[in-house]
Amino acid sequence: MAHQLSLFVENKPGKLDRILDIFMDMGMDVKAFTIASSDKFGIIKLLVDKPFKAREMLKQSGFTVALTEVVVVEISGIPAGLKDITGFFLSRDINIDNALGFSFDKDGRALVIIESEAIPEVKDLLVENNFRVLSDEQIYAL
Amino acid sequence: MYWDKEIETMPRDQLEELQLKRLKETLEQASKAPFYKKLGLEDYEVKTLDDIEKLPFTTKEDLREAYPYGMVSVDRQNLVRLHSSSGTTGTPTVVFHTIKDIDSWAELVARCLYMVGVRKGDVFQNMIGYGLFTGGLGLHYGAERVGCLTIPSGPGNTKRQLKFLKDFDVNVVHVIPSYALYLADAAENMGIEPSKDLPNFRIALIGAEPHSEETRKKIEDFFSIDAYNSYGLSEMNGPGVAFECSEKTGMHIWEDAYLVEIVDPHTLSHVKPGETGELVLTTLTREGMPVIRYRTKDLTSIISSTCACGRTHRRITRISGRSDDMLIVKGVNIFPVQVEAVLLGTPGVRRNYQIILESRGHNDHMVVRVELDPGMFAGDMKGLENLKKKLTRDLRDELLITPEIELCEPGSLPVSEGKAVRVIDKREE
Repeated sequence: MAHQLSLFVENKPGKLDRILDIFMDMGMDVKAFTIASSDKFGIIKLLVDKPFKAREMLKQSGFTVALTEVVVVEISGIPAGLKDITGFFLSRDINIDNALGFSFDKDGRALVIIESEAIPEVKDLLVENNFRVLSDEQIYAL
Repeated sequence: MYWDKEIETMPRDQLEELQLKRLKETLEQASKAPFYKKLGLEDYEVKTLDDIEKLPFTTKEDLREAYPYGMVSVDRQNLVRLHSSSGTTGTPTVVFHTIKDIDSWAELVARCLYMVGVRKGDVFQNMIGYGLFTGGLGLHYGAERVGCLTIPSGPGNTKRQLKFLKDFDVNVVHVIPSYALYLADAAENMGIEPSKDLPNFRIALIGAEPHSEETRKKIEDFFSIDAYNSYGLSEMNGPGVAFECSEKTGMHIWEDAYLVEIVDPHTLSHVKPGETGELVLTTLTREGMPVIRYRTKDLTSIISSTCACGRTHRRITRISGRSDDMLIVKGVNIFPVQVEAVLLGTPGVRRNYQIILESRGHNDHMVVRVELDPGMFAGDMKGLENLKKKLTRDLRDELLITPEIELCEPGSLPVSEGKAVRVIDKREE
């Protein structure tokens, strides 16, 4: 399973800047990131090429960090391609906890990063039903 | 079972007779001190114990005013020891002892130690500060009197503390509760397993700072020991004033040495039996520096029912706060120790916290800042929101007002020490 870093940080300037310093020092590639805040604190999520190594480095620097499992799917476009997934999830009563989706070429092809409670099963189901699920190697080589 | 059976199990009427006799002697002795002479103490007449209410109080400010020698009631060449309280502002308060005072103090501490099962031959590691502070030397003399091999390790140097605990097969420690918790974490990190590496460790005496029942449970569970609550203050010697027995239901206060009163901090009259109020103590055996009706500022209540251990000296409940660190928020009395108790019972947060009080419009607003436990972070916002909700609910149930919770990064709040500044009051007058 592919893993994403999740960091608990106080909602203050300079936090992401420090994380990026650490990544640049160790030559870590970031494939995607999001920041979500709730008043006084926030969660920074990062999809990187070496998540376990990154977690150790961040912990040593005093960050509160967890790894969560994600599944990444390539779709033909948004909304049409994405609707295939949401319709499929609806029929199976699967809930999406967090997601990040973006279109990356002129034909509208897009990638969706999905977090859900039952990630391994969700990934298997998507593969069985011929969705284009990226392998861990493909994700880390993006 | 008893260190001094006759005194410890003395029938109440005899004990009160002894108290009255000693109170009269104490008043006579105290009247020799410049401070009490000026107060005209010798003009007060005491015929019964109830007459104590007619006497004037002594406060910490009085002790400061009498600095340096104003409270001494013997010829100065009979003094052998000076201690000073841990006051951080202004003139220190000092307490003097004659050789007889030191002896009776050691006797009271020995009584406490024996009561919780400390015996001759035990190895006793005293992890409390020596020096001007009374905690170290007070327990030291008592432990030696019982016949313990006493290690005056003092606080700090955690690795050496743990090494000594293990290598000298220590049975009993005296420790500040927050340091005991720190020691437990350090032991875990060093791979020390209490059941295997500390097989004969039995007893921890915890005192010198307010703590909750949850803190005691944590210490007991981690080390598989019994932890006993202790109460004392330098103005009344230091440790040895009141101590739990093996029943762990309140602390026996040695009434042959102290006359106990509980007063309402505002009206200064006695509360009804069993009600909580400020503890007021009068020394009954001290000759170098007797203190009459000392306002301790500690809040407690008296348990008058007989104790299963057979001792007739009444018990006081765990100190629920100080009349001077009590916060009044939205008209409700709140003690920081209540917040601590809730945090200790909540997985996901650490025990460090800060209380910030603000005015919003005409209303008080209370913010509790607490550190997230990094080991419990699952990476999702939902978990953090649920933690905040749970803390808000539990604190509201405990405090009766609804605080705002701020989750902070681990290590970002001031470190817990005995007297860490945990309350920031920004409210307008």
